[in-house]
Amino acid sequence: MEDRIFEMVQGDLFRTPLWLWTLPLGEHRFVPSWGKGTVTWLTQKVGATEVKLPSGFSFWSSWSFAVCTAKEERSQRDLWRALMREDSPTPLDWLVLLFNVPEPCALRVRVGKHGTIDYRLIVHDSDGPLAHASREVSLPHGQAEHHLLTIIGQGRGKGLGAQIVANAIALYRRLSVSELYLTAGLSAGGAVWGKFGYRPVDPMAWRGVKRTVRRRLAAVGANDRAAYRLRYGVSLEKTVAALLRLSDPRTLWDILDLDPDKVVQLGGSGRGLGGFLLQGTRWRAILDLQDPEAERRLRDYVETKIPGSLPPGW
Amino acid sequence: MSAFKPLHKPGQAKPQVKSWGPADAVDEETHLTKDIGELDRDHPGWDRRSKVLAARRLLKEPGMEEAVVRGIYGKAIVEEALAAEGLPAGGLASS
Repeated sequence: MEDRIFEMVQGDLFRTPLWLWTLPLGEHRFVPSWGKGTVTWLTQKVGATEVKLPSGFSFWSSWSFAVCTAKEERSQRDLWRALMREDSPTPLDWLVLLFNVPEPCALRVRVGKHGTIDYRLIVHDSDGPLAHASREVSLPHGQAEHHLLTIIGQGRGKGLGAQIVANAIALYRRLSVSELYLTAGLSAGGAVWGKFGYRPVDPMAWRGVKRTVRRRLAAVGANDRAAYRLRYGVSLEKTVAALLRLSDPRTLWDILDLDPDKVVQLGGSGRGLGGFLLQGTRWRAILDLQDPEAERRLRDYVETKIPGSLPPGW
Repeated sequence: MSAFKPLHKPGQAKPQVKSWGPADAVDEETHLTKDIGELDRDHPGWDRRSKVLAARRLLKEPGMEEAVVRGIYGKAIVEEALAAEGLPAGGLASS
């Protein structure tokens, strides 16, 4: 009867390309623009092989794209039972990670021996893959590491990333996980994760961001600087300098919030000033759910991005 | 042979994600908890509270000028933050 819990949450198999597991190298910031096409082509060529994944919740053991053998499946179930208390979230509860995302999608879970759980989220729709997320949760430490979140092609700009993050928060609250870590800056992440309430993990990491912000500030044109001064009655240089004097890593949020009236045009690029200044930064990030300001920033952003789509448990 | 069994056969209902909050705390239609779903939305400025918190934090920084914070969060939010800190508009020095 107990094993029925696991079977209830396993779905039909669907096909997905192997390249989903490779980093989208073609879009990596270290790949020069002239090489992006070639690298993308190679990545997709190598990864053209398709694998079958079960939709819903399923365990993995060696590779997250490989189906467990019967022995591995038994071992994973035993580890799960040893780790979870009676009131812990069940595999059915873990399906909140798939809340309001397109189908089919697979939640691949691997239980470690020391209270860690690795999971991968593979989101598809009828046209193909949309997103891939890779995370590790340490239950004894109440921490989660978000290794990678890739939103692919047509999945972008529709709030799918925000939905995936919001779903994870709902699960983490149940698991008493309150510290989320990631490394921001793989592609555009340095200018994105602050919107979700992530901040540099310590003053040292914040110092690294400051250097890039100073460099980017020099690239803001004279007309934009004049427009800023005219609107706010204070120069952009003075404002940024005042922020960069602070050692509090939460100041990154203030950089992101610069120019609320959006008078700085940045050559008509349509980008916000804060995002422009943080572009190209790479920093170790923490989202501390016990910090009321971080938590509120996350809520405000997610609520605006995916109105009415918060998962149960928020 | 796959170790996995199909989740739901044709014609069977799919399992639903269950809520773990108190039943009456979740709006059945939107799935938003009343905490942020109803109470916050009824409150003016529900979507900018983080900005007010941030402005309050900045205003408390030694040497921080009100004009600088206005350039980041705008006049309305700074006024709200000043009021929350018990300071009048213009309550911080500007140069």
